[in-house]
Amino acid sequence: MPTPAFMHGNQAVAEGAIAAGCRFYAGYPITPSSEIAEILSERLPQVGGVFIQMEDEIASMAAIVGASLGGLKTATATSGPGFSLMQENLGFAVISEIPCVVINVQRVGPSTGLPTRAAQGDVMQARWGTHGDHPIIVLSPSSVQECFDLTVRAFNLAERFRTPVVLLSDAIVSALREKLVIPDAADIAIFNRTQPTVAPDDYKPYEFLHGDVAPLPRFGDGYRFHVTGLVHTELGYPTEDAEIISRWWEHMSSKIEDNLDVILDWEEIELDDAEVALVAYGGTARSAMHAVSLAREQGIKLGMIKIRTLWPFPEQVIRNLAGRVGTIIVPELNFGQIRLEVERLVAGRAAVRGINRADGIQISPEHILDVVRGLERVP
Amino acid sequence: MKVQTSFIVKEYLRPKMLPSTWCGGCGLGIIMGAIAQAVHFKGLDKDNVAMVSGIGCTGRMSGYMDFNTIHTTHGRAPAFATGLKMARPEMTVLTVMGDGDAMSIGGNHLIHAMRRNIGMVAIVVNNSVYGLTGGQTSPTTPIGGHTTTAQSGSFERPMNLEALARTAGAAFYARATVNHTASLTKLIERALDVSGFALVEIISNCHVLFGKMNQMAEASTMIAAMDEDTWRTNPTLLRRAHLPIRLTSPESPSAPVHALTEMDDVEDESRTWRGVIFERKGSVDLSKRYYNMLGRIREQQRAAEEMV
Repeated sequence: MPTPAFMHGNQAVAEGAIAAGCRFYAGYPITPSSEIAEILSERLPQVGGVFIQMEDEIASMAAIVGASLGGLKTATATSGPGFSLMQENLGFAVISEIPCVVINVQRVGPSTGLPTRAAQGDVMQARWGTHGDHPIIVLSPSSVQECFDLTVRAFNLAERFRTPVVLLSDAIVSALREKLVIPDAADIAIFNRTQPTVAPDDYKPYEFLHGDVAPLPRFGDGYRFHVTGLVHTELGYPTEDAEIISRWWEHMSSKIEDNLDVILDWEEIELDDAEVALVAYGGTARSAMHAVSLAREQGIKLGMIKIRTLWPFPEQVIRNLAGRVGTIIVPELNFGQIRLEVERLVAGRAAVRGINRADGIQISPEHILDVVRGLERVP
Repeated sequence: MKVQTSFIVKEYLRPKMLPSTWCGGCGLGIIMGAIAQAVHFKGLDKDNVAMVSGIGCTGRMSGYMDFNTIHTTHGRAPAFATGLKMARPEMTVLTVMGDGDAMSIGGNHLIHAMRRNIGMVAIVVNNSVYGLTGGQTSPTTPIGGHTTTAQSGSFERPMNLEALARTAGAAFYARATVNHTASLTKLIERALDVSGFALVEIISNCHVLFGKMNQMAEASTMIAAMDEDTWRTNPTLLRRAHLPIRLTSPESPSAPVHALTEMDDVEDESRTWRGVIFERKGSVDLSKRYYNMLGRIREQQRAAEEMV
């Protein structure tokens, strides 16, 4: 039987992690993410898992990569300043293709900023925070239910594509308490990294497959492979051969770009007859959904797209939207990090405007509705 | 006892990764051989051994050795290794770092790995300089030592790793040199027996950079100095010391030694001891303690289930 429950977003993330098979957590306390660590420090030992509080976020990120090579599903949780410290080893996880999940509960920044207040200022840090070009998957939950569901999905995508996956939560959904339904364990789809079937001598830990990844055995299973942050051959050995490097890049990008049908996740709300559309994600999507229902009560043809996979960005979805509505409004708790993406894709085929604040106060449904009404007044 | 080099190469190295990036005469080859010999003499299964290294010349070692290997980021090797050891407590974990790797950028991770007493053999190769990046000052460059970023001689006090390890709670500390290869292997074997964090500091030579800038351009000169400037530990009389290697050759008694005496916060009488410096009795590896705790929790759960 699916179990109804009442919990806050951080608790749903912790329970989602347990349900997904996470058996290792390393972290460092930081508001507003700390409940995830506190809950997992109790829950993981109950299921035979490992919880360890590390000396900082650099070490936390390192430890989850090390433990993932030990065969466990691993995660860490943090907020903006800690996420910055994780970027170094997040890049290591990207290049060495080690599955792991990084939860960033966003607060207002930069620096210590407003530690207890919500923001969505790490959208671009999640995409480009680590040095160098790289693929990444970033998911953004807007409800407690989605905190649970997208955490499970984050682990599945990490295991499927041998990549770190960022769950970009925020201080709205993390502290919010509401109902969710936890499915039966048997009904939760779980993906575990594939295991090699070839003999150790024939195993290529980084085989340059197009749109796919090589199996990943545990350390200790007899494969004795090498893991490095250097650009490497299919065997994991360092290389400076430009031809090999271009094949490696092709593999790295195609494993994400060729699987958008699996990775992308968005929802269309009241869009069929809409003249104006909102594009929203995370905590702000809640206000946007409320604004849509208020608008519909008043006969205003407002619809929206709620984005759950922020990166890779659902480019075609936004391109198509430009042909369907005259105006696209992007409310977000930053100064336009996703709006810039939307403008790039719309390319002048619709008007795009943002509703932006980063002062620790949520964007209200009424605020969004006022902006929509303001558009209507324009002749 | 020593096994043939050809056997070591065949059994413990990855031929496709060779030749190494190390300069001729570098002590790292001796250290890699000693690690292989120690693993061999302990009869460890290669599949059950992991080597986790940082960045630098020393960091390259993990690529050459036929274990389960991670060449991590600069300074972070102990943190990666902690995650691995907690996930796979049955594995033997070797964490290999240089002096800059372990004591400068990775200092915090090293301190906390020692504090937790997580089960690993940490090998710190101390050659007093950043080698791979071109001979810059490291946290163990002696006062007066010339480097590419201390052209007039280093004026900072070097790190006392031994005192740090004692204070932070390491289970075992030994110091070896690449001159004394038999005891080097023996000390790594001793470290492999420890339950908890066992640190082996190995004094090595970077004659190509540090040596050349300090009147010791020949590997042989630097390696000979390791014998002249270190003393074997006497178990009944352990003294602490922190000068890694001497500053200049006797033929060139120039500024460095003079600078040493002018700095009033330096213990210039200290000697560099080699051998087992300390070993904490009754040490238990963190991962073992953690899994014992999990066992107790499981028993409580079973008892509670039976009550129901």
